Amino acid sequence: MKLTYNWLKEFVDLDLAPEALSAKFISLGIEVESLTRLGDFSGVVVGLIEKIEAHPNADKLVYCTVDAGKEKKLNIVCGAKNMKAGDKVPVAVDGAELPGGFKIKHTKLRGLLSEGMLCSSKELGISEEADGLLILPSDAPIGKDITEYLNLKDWLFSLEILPNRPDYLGIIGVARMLSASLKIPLKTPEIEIKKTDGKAASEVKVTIADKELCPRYTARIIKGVKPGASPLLMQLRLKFAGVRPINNIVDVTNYVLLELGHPLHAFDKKLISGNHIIVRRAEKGEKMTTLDGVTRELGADMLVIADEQKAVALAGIMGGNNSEINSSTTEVLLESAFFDAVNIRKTSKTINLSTEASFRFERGMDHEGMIRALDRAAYLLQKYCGGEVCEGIIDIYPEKIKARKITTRFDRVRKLLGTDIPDGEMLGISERLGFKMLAKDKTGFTVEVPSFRVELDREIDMIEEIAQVYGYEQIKERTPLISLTSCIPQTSFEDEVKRALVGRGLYEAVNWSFMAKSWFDKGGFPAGSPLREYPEILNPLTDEWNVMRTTLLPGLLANTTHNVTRFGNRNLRLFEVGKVFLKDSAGKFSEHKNIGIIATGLISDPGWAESPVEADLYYIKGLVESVLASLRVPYELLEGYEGEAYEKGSAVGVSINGKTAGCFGELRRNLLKAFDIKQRVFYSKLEIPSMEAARTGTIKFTHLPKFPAIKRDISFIVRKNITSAAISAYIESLRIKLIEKMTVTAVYEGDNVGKELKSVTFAIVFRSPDRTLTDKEVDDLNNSIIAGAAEKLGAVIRK
Amino acid sequence: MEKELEKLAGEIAAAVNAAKTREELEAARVKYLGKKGALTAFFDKLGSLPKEEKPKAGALLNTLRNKADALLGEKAEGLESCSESNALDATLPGRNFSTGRYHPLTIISNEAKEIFKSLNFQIIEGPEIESDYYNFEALNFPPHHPARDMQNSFHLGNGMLLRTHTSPVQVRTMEKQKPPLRMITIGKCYRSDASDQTHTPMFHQIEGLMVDENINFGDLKGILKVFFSRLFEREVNIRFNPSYFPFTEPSVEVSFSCHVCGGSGCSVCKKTGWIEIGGAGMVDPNVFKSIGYDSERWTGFAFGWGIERLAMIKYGINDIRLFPENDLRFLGQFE
Ligand SMILES: [Zn+2]
Repeated sequence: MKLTYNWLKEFVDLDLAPEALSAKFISLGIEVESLTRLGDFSGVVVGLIEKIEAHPNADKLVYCTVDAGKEKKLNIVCGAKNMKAGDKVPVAVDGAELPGGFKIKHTKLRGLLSEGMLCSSKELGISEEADGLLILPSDAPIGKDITEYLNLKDWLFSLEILPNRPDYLGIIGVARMLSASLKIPLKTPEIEIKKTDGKAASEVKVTIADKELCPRYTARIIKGVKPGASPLLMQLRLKFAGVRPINNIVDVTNYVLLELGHPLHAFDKKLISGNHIIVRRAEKGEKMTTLDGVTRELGADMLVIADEQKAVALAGIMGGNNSEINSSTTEVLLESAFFDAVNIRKTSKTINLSTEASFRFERGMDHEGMIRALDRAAYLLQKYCGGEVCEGIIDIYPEKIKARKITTRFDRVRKLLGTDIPDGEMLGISERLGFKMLAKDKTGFTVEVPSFRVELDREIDMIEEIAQVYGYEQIKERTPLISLTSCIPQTSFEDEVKRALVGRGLYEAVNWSFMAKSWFDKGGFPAGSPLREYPEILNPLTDEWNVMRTTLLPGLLANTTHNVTRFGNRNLRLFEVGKVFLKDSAGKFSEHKNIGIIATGLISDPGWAESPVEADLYYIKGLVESVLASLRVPYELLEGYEGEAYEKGSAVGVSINGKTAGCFGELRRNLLKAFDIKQRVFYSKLEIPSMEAARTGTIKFTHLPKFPAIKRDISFIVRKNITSAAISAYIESLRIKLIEKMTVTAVYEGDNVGKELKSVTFAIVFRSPDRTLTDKEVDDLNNSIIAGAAEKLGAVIRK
Repeated sequence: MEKELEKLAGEIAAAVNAAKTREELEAARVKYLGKKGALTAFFDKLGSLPKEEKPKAGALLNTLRNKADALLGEKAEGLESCSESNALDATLPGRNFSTGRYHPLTIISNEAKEIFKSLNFQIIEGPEIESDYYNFEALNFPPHHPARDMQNSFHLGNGMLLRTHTSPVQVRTMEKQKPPLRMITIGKCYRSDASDQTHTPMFHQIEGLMVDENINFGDLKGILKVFFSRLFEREVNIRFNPSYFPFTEPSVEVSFSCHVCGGSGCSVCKKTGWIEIGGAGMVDPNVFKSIGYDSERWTGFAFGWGIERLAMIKYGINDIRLFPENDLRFLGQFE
């Protein structure tokens, strides 16, 4: 909500400077979005447009002769449309400085010299809307400084009002809180209605057909109004608040809405047929055109204000154009009603129309304060529109809304707040806030909640009220005594996973949980792919994020495109630990925590002393295996694994507890191409829950060996299709108990071994747990391995 | 011959001693131990000696040669380090250690977890796809309440949505555990707000809850003071301003005194001395009621704020959109 400092001062005698007031607002829980000094410009004066001529070189511009009180008339080029010769407008003359530091100088505009600028309210910082030149009253003195003329020595506060304080949606509510907190009196707005002959009750009849949705409806009749422009100050204040001035009658209702927070509506009474207002639900399919010119089809849950023939307003949201105030209006039916908050909110959501009125009604309005708003508006119609207010208020109030009572215990307040606030202070605060004291004793007190505080009905609400006025800075900090819990897990498995990967030189990524449905088509994934079982977002912000991710690959691939393709950082080793989301055929959603790893380019940072090694299948394999081993997760690798994202024949599955719980391999070239990646990329996916479920207990220490080992290298020259696994399987088949460990230490292909062949070197470690082995027995074992190799593997042993 | 050898030993020692470079030392070696060297010449003479003298002379010569070798070796070691011709270029950069990096959000989350673990809080996780009940209703956001407008949600259908805050985890935890309890949770949240420098539709929150007998508003201030002081490694003060969240009452906006200037005002705190961080409050009795806790006996506080915001404050990051971009030049800075 926006209000100015001077306007607020009409309700409470502040002696705080605007900046100090801003701090006060924050301490009262009213967020100050901005504080702007108004009239923060110079060199703008009242000018009279004497003549308007066409601009010879531009259709959209005109050439004006302006009397700005200077020796010489000014020639000014202008693009606005809403003025005519004889109008008075603000003129920024040579040397003027507008808000934002914009300086005005003599300038040639399409060939003609412009000696200044005619200003709109937006250019003077009065409104946010650009709505043509600000036309001033005809008695505005030519040449007068506009800041003085408009009395712009003021400050504009833009306040953010939280949903629990609808009372702050009127200036009076804010003033009331300041009055209680600063202990200064609240001033109520002037209302002096003159006695006239007319009687409201004999003018119009009101029937409430649905008292659930409209518990109270009040109205006044004002006759003899003369539609026209509202006073300049009123127009300015409306503009400051972001409300567009329309005419004096509508402006009065909006002005009172801003002052007192209660929405009002003015009907042209002569357009109400049968002089009968009926508050009823709309017929299903009933149509009405609202003031914004939109014809809307209504539902049976929506409340309308109708006459005997037609709906004339959408209750609490917007009036109808069939009963709109117009230039020939003479009699006004002024409505101040109380509508059900939830119903207004539902209707507003359904028809997607939120207005100043609906915003307030859906937060809950003051069922007593509505009368003062009605009276205040009637008074202003009398004052500014020449209206004569008929005697009496039509007040249809089928069931009086009961005042809420709250009992508060002194000790409870002190216990919950942890302060020693005295009883008397609590009573004083409650009274200053407008609570009516019904009873009090040694233990506590009972108050009646004022009607403008619609959200309060519990002791805790009173505790908060008291605490806010007492001051949160008075709350003394204390550290609670915490009893130790014997067993709290110290690290999560996820933390360990991250540590294992960071420890192996990878960077951690955090990507969006959203992705584009179209990603799967772009990446060439088959139509029936299980990855397409995504939960869809029904109200996505963009098509790029219209489903939840079912795989971590899109994010990591996007990171690869970003770093490798866009920023030329070709060495990338990234991982992410995060959730993927699925929707099953029954429509049930599930979430699964995965690890995604992506590697491309060099596997370690390049430097002068390092020999560059490109990521390959063995990098990702070694990484996955070493991470699984370090996390003590038993696994098996599955040859011939088919993954939709991988190059054919490059992928390996990871089976944990007999279930496929991961994979790794080289990503498809055409997938990479679709995302502008021109180098080989390796990827792995692992499922955290399966890993965590399978992990074995703590680290088990193995005693160090007492006797030395003997090592032998054997180079098997075999056909290329013999795998290293086949060689180790052969060695294992010999069941040599003294083999402690064997590892592949070299693989060689090339001229020295022949075209069809390769050499695979195994380092075999022999050790006995209870004695020192002799060279002779190790040689015998080694020879036994060599002996069978020719027959079993077709191998030749390289010497 | 013994005397001659003694003299030669002296000469060798002097020559070795005098050598200033490896070249001079090598010249000395050649002069005495080379093929035509003085000591070698004695070995050549050995054959012509009478048989009975041979063993003794041989032993003497061997001793002398070993001594000379040792001297040369020792000297060579000393010269090696100062000889310019063979120096290493120590200005070359050292070998690379390709170390990994945690994402800054993980670093901050881990620091927060460590602090709360040390305060005996449990760490709990919850689902990111939530029902309306857990995300709103159980947290005292009645259907059609305008407070729901404070958190625009993404809907998935079947009454499910992406959680807009981590607060549902409070409810889920209280459903499973009896008080007293202390917990925090950290995780992703989603709101359908457009991105700008301080907003993204996905972000991370930390949420905490403590319920016990006699927990009061001052305890909340105290715990927050401990947390922020430990996180920023400087004693900070906590400021509460009134605010509104349906699931706490009283509700507050939490600020801590600037960790950079200590409250005197600087560019980090925009000259205010305070840094706004998030929301907190005493658990609303309606929340306890929906769980089945007796709100007369148990009281508690809850708090929550963005992990991104915390990281931005701690590291001086100016744009929240850098976090999900995963640019190596960004990630590489958080070692
Ligand atoms: Zn500071």
